[in-house]
Amino acid sequence: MNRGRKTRPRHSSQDGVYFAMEDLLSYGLLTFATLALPSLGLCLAIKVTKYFNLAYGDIVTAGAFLALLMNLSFKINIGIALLISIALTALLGVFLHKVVFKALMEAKVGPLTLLVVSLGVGLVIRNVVLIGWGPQPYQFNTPLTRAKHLGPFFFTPNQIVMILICILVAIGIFLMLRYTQLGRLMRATSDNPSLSLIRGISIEKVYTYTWIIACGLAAIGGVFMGMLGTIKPGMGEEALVTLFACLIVGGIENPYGAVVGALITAFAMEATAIWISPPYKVVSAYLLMFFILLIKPSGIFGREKIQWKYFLGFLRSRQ
Amino acid sequence: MKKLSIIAILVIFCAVFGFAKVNTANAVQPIRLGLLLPYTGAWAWVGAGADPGAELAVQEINADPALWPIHRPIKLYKEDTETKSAPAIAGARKLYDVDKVCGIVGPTSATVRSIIPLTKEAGALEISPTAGTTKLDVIGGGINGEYIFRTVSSDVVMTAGMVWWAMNKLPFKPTKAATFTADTEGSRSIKGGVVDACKVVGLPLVTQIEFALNQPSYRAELKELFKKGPQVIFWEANPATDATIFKQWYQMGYDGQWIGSDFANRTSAKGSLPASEGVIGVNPGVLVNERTNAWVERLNKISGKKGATPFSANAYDAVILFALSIEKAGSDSRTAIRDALRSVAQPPGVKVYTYAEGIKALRAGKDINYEGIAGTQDFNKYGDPITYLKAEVMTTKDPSGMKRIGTVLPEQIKDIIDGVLAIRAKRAKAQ
Amino acid sequence: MEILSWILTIATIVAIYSIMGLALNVHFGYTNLPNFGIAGFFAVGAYASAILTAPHRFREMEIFAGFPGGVAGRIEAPFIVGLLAAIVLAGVVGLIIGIPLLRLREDYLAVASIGIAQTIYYVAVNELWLTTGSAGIRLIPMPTGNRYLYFLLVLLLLAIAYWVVNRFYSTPIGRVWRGVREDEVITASLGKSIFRSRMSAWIAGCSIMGAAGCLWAHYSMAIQPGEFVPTTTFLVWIFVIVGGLRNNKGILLGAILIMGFFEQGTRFLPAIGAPYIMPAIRLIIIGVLLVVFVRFRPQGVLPERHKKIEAHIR
Repeated sequence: MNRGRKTRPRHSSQDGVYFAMEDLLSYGLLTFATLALPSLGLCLAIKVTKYFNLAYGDIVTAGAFLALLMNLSFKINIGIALLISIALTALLGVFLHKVVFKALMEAKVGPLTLLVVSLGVGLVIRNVVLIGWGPQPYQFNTPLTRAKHLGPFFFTPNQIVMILICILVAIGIFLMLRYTQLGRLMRATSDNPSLSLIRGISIEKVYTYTWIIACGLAAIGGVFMGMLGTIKPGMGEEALVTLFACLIVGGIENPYGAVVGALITAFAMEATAIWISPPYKVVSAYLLMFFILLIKPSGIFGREKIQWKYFLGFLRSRQ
Repeated sequence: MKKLSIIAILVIFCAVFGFAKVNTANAVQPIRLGLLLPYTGAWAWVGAGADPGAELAVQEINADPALWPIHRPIKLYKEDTETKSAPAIAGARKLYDVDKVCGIVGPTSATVRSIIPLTKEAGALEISPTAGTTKLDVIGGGINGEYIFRTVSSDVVMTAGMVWWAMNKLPFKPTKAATFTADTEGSRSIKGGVVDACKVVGLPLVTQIEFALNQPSYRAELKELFKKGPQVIFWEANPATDATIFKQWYQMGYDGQWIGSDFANRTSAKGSLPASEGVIGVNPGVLVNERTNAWVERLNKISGKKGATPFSANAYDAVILFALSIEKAGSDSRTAIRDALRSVAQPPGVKVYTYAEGIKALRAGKDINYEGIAGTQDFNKYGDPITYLKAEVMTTKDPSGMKRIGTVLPEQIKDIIDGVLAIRAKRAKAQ
Repeated sequence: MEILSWILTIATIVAIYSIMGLALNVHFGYTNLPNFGIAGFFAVGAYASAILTAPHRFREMEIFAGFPGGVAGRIEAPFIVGLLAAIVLAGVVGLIIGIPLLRLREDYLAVASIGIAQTIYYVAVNELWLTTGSAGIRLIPMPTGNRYLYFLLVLLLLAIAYWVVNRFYSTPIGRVWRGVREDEVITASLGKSIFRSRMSAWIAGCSIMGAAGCLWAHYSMAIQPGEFVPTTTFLVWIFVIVGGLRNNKGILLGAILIMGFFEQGTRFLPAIGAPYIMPAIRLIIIGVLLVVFVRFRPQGVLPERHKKIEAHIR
């Protein structure tokens, strides 16, 4: 009756749990490499600008397609194409902020209004990409290589580079947040925008830099998604809710949480694919998100205690 | 504000229906024929492929005023289904009610069932050039084979061809096969056909896997697929997913011969090559002979593309059959056309191979049997024909991404089809 | 006469979407619960009714084609049972989902509800025994047998929904909802439970969406999971915002403008270039419209009737 059960992989005894763990480790890390940086970027954007940008998924798409344009049309090596794409996507982000969101933020509209507006912005980006490239899938022009076993891992050389870039960039962003002037400004603006304004911080400048970083990270994420799978106009939109799941798991305004959340979500997704049912891979990310929202809305690193009482005492008032 | 919005509504209303007037008020009473295809959405490639075939047919029918069916030209009214049922219903409604078409050519498996009730209500004839789903094989209450016909064969035929190719044309004799299909209706239809056909030829299926489309990674599914070492994998997905599957299949270093359906097409090949080098697709295709070569050349002038686009021959045959039925019926009344279709499409009658031949024979008072480009178009009692199949291989050596490697004829796969239908009839009885 | 029949088709689609718009008004307009999972509740209602009312024939055909026969087609219940089941089930699903969601801040709720709709979509695609998967359920009977009468039925239910939603505005519970929207602290200090009043609004809205789903299933007579994707949700949001958030007449107007003229009326325009371009342009215009409206006329074409909340709390 249930097809989900039929597709559920059964690991025979000689195969053993070890090989399944090996799959989980390799696939989980690859999925992590595609999720971590966009999730970190989205986290920074939300941390500083204080609203949920639903266009972010489509900015990821734009990043992938800009790299594709460089890689296919101008025959530029994928590494350099990635750098150019980061710059162009960052420009796009700043442009969107200045043209659409800046005026609304100055008019002091609520975070929800900005969210609805970003929905419209995302719709526009997605369909502009669709008009430009059409609905068919694309691939980067990179040499095709076979994966090799390296200890417990099973990767192609490109994939190893991707995972290393991902980890290094994430560490770079953490160091930047902690030790540079810009990082301090971002944290200050996030904690108390009006106080920062009084102290003479140009909030607008901080917003601009935040968008540059967030969209740059989105571009890296988009290119990585394209390297692993294919590039198509709906790719970012499909990834958006998964990115939010990563953020909510780690705590929405916590950059470390965003990366750890991406790690947990990636492994939860791949574990579901290996042991439960591949089509429910994405659902496992959503369910993880609801579970965290239910017991600890501030994420696994949040300060509040786990609220088990909501399982039973939900009819009690909030107050 | 209220006034303003009312005025706005009126303006838009006038603009919209003004267009309708302009659209419908030209020419001297052409015969109106609807073309309902997915020009957008997931199956946009189907609409794009079939459209030039229908255009070519109309061009040939209208070429000589002396040979116009019932002395009137044919005019196509096109609507987009967006591969979704709501727009498909709205589109079909517009065709039947506003454009007053005498029948519809289309749509695809994704939406055909939403349109059937409307067609029945309109008492019209619907010929789908693309809906291969096996669920149309037996659709209910005598509707099928009465209102709904196809110029494309049921997926039972295509899957029989896929399995036949695996058993007879590969350099080795496979002993273990697997299915790897998406969780969509079309793919499940393919999977069902492959499973039954494999039973008929005695090819054991060691693994059957279904998966969701458009995922970033299929590594877990692929690993599972190859656990028992199948030599042949019957698969169907969509182009975007194919690209991911084949790239990861290559990276993981697995072996095996992939055999696909009509979804193993040029769009898919372009996205997934070079990883998909050597992957085979068995799907409806025209014969290679002088007649079809000339036809393909004419088609290329319209489509601007090389070769026969997917389903173009089926759409072409559907429109030609409409025109011949109209001539046979002697009017463009919906029911009359419907009743005339079988008498021009299947034996007995002189075999005719072009529209001009057919209409001349009809006017000479002869019975005709139209032999189409896509197949002989002799409908069974469910309104289904058995069309020709072709086999193609994905390769970087051909600029289009696919190279034709052979043809599958109806008589070669007849035994498998009969076996599958027998299994299905038995299963239905057992329930 | 036949052009009327076509307009009727469009009108039925518009009426069904209007019901969803009214439900969104209960969620977002009255109570400030941004539900971005409309497609999910729409799907629950559609599937509940379709599974219950699908004829036995449907199941037999599934089995013939080599598919496992599921729940759909076992029961063959009458339409009214399907409608009630749709309303109740959508409400129950709303209740279960509301428990974790309604404690959240609005923007969290918005994002989480997209996830809910997607989860329901994946269940509809994958649980073959229940929903027949992506092939969907077809042969769903149209209760009146005739789409002219069916349009009247839809219109009747739209009228009921309109009346109910309008009543909510001025009933005590509706006043509490709007109180929650305007100021949670004051409302709580008046002894009203924020969570419970949010939950009641949430369930009411979800049930109405379920009813819309049921009407849709019986109208299109065949449903597939592919219809219940985020785009459906976004369309509802867009016409509610354009028409006039918090004004029920405005929502009807928005549905006619966006769903009727913009979505269906543009079918008359000639295609430009590749076939995917026209719909893409349509969506770009919708996106721009959304941004422009929120920026320059956030209250929509028809704004909320200015019934100050203070008028009720004297």
